[in-house]
Amino acid sequence: MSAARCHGAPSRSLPREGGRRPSLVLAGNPNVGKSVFFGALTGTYVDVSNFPGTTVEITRGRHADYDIVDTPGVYGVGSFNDEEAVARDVILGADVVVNIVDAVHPERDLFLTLQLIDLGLPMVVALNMVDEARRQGVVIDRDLLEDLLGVPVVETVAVEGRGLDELIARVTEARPGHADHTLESDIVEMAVRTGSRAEALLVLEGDEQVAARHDLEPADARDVIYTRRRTRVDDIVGHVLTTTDEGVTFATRLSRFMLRPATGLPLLAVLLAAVYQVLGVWVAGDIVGLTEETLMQGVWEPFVRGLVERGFADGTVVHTLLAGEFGVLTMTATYLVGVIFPLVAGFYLLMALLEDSGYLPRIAALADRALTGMGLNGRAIIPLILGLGCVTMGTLTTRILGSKRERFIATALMAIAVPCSAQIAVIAALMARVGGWYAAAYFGILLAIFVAIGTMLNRLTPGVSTDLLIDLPPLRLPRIGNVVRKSSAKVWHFMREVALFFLAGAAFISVLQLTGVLDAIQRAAVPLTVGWLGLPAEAATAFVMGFVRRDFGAAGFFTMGLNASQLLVAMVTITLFVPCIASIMVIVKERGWGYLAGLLAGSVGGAFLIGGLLSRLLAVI
Amino acid sequence: MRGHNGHGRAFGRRRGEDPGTLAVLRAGDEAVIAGIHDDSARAQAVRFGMGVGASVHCVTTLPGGPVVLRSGRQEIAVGRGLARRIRIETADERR
Repeated sequence: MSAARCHGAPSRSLPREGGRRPSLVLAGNPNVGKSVFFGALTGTYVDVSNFPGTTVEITRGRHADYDIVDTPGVYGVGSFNDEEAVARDVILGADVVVNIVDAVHPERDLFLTLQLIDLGLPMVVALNMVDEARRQGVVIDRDLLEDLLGVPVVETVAVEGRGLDELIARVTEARPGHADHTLESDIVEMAVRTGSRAEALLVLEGDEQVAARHDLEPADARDVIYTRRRTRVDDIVGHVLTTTDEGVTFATRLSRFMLRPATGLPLLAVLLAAVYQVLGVWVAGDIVGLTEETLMQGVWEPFVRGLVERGFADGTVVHTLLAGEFGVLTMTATYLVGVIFPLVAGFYLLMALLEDSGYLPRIAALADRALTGMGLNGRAIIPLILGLGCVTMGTLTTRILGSKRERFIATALMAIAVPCSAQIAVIAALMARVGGWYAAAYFGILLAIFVAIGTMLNRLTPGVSTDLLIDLPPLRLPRIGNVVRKSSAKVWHFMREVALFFLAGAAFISVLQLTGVLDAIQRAAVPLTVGWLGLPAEAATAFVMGFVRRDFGAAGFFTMGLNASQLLVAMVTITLFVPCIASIMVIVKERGWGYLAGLLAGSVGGAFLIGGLLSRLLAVI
Repeated sequence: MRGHNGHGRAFGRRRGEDPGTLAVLRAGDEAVIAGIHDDSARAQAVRFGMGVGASVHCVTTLPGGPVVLRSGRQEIAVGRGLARRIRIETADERR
């Protein structure tokens, strides 16, 4: 161990100002398992994602005497996008940085490691997924890596909990490593003005945000510093890495197969068909048939209605609230447990499989050309696909996009034309009654609207969008334990939020019904609902419900006895209608009030316009 | 500026593409990155080990879409618009 070369003496005890617990900040590239570390260390499970950018929120937890902080996955510290800026600021405030390095991919990951070392932060490196690396014929000399970096390096397999105890034990040995010595004089000079070594380096690297904090002009040494760092990474990798298998593996061949359009597009089509078969036919048809009709409507509703009627007669206020048409114990419970839960669980399970396998960035490459026509690049497929799960989550994930313009367009597309999984659940259950062609027409119409809005916004939105530059990590078999943990956490999170809105919404609609407001709205809206959309007058209720959540609105159509074409009109209209309250709140936070106002006007106007036109068209056909 | 790849095909045959850029590469081609005319992409490329001076291998291209590159064991997809702003030298030109 060459402690003499270290810039700071190894700290035996960590800083502890005013009784504050020292913070361990987990930092690493996307996909390296930071969130698995977080979950294993803190015991509380949080959102784990395998794809760049999905760990958007900063999550904090506690382990022994430490505060553990998770950060978004980044390839370097800087301000190239919002996530990087967030990660940078958390890392700058760390007492100790735990840098997680993917043992399969040291060439990529060590760039961040050396940057963290150059920043002069006390750190420990976790060399993760050593088991998988060995399977792929990649061996890393841990001892030599530790010497070359000058910081403790611990081998781990986080998904199995291996190496975590050693990692925590060695946190006390955390120290700044062997930084680029040619930088020292510049850093020292700049640190006089920034007050800290780390910020000095970032200013030298041209970080405009950090420079602005100190009223400085960003320096232009980034290319030089980055190139030197890259040379050091390649040098270190050349010394510590041994690969025994240079041949083309099955995963490599499969990756080519996925990327070439001639084979990749059919594969994607097969995948989508499989997703439809699983979610649209088996889950939405067979399983929901069982849970919704047999279980909830057949057993639960009569039972709970009987209970309520022991105390409150049919028609009383309490009876209406609890067990009426929109009763919180009857209708709400049926949709939540019988319809939404099975489909949302199915969706997130499939999503987790996709994320864990590394297939998503390949889809991003395939989708790039189509998305550039809408002012986006292939990367936007990630928030858009996540938006299919939950528009709120998708909107948050637009932070991974490279420009304000792209975030603007992607948010609008999701809020207007992307139905969330809960809504798809209700719609799939409704559409299962009228057959596959109407479901196909529904998705076809939405896709056309999606492309139309995207193309239009691309023309109208000022600014320049960024181009695709995306890492294609090696494909791997999803780890079932990881997939199950990841998806169950998301389903739990999602259902909790949905349940709250459904319960409040159902109570709200019941109050409107009891006070006669609902009738008045229905009568006032007759020209729109009956005259223009060709739906029954009660459809107005569903749209009022749609303000609470779109899936809740879709659920409102369940008992109306619509025919097939009315159902199609209703579903298209309610999908285009306003996004749910949760995503509205996120949109205001991320994009502002003006954006929201435009979005609401556009989506409500557009929904009724297109719904009415569709109704006319179907009448002609 | 025309070079040849290992299969004897000439570079620069893609109609409408500037011959000295990444956008002309086809599967199997080798090239050396000579310049990246985009600040953030230049930094990001160095992070992935594909900065100026790096040797890259073209894995595949998607028609009108990204160029997929490999350097060492790292793979990235580069959108077509960016590929047009990345200048390359072919292996021949450097000899």
